[in-house]
Amino acid sequence: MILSSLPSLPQATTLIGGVPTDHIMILSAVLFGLGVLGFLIRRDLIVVFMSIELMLNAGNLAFLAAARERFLDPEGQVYTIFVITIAAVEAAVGLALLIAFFRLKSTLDVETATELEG
Amino acid sequence: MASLVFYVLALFSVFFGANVVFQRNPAICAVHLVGAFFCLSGIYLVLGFPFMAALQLLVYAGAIMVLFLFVIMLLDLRREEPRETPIAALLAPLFSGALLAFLALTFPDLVVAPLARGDLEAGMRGASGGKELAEALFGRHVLAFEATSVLLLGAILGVVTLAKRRRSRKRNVDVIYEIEKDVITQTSKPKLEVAGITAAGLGEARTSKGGQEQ
Repeated sequence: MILSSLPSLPQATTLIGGVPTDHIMILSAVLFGLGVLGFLIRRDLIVVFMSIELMLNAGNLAFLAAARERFLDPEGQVYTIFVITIAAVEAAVGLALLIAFFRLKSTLDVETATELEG
Repeated sequence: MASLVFYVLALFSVFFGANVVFQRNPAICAVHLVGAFFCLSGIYLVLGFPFMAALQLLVYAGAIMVLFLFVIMLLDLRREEPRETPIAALLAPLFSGALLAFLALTFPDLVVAPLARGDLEAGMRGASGGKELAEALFGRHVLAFEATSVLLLGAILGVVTLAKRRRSRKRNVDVIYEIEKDVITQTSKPKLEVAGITAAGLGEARTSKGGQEQ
C-alpha cells in the first residue's frame, strides 16, 4: 500500500511479491489464536509447550511482516533471531521441567499439578 | 506467483496448527508442528527472508522438534482424555486473536509513516539480508547478543540441575530408615514399604515410583 505511492522504485514490487502485509498479519493472528486455544484447552503438558512454540512462531511472522513493510529492515530480523534463541532456551528448560514433573507424578496431565493451589 | 505460494502455505500452516491443537496423540501433534514450521519457513522465503527461513528450519524444525520428539519417546505418552473446557477458554483466543489482528491492521499507519527515504534505500540494499543484518546484529545489538550467550549458559546449568536425579540424598535417607526399621522390628520387610515411608512427605505418586525403583 505504501509502495504504490512510490512509482520510482520498481525493484520494490518484485521484492514484496504482491502479498499485502495485512494478510500476513491476519495469518499471524490466526496462528497466535490457535496457540492460545491449545494452551488453554489441552491437558497434556507437552502439547501445551507446542502451543507456546506456535505462539512464538506467530510473533516471529508478525515481526518479519513488519520488517518487510519497512522495506526489509534488518531490525525485524534481529528481533526474530533473538526470539528464536529464547524459544530454544524455553524449550530446553521447559522440557527438563516436564521430565522432572513426570518423574514426580508419572503423568503429564496439568490437572494433577495442584500442589501450589492457593 | 509468489503470492499464490504464500496463500497455499498460509492455508497449510493454519491446517497444521489446528491439528497441533486438536489431535489427541502428542506424537501426531509434534509431527504436525513440524509441518507448520516447514510452511512458515516457506513463507519467510517467499517474503524475502532467506536467512530467517534457514534459521527456522535449523532451529525449530531441527533442534527444538528433536527435543520434543525425544521427550515424547522417553516418556511413552498415551492419548490424553479430553478435558472439559470452560467457555472462557474458548473466548480467550478469540479475544487475543482479535487484539493482535487489530494491532496488525493499524500497524502500518503507526510505524511506517515516519520512515525516511534514505532508510528506504538502505533497506533495499539489504534485501538479501546478509550485510545489513550482520551490521545490525553485531553493531547496535552486540550487547544483547552477548547477553544471549549468558542466557544460554544459564539455561544449560538450569537444565542439568533440573534433569539430574538426586540419588545420593535419597539413598542416605533410605539407609537411615532401613537401619531404624531393622533395629526396632528385627524383621526384613520388603523394601517397597521402606521407600514408601521415605517418600511419605513428598506425595503419593513419588511413593509408588520409589517403590518400583527399589
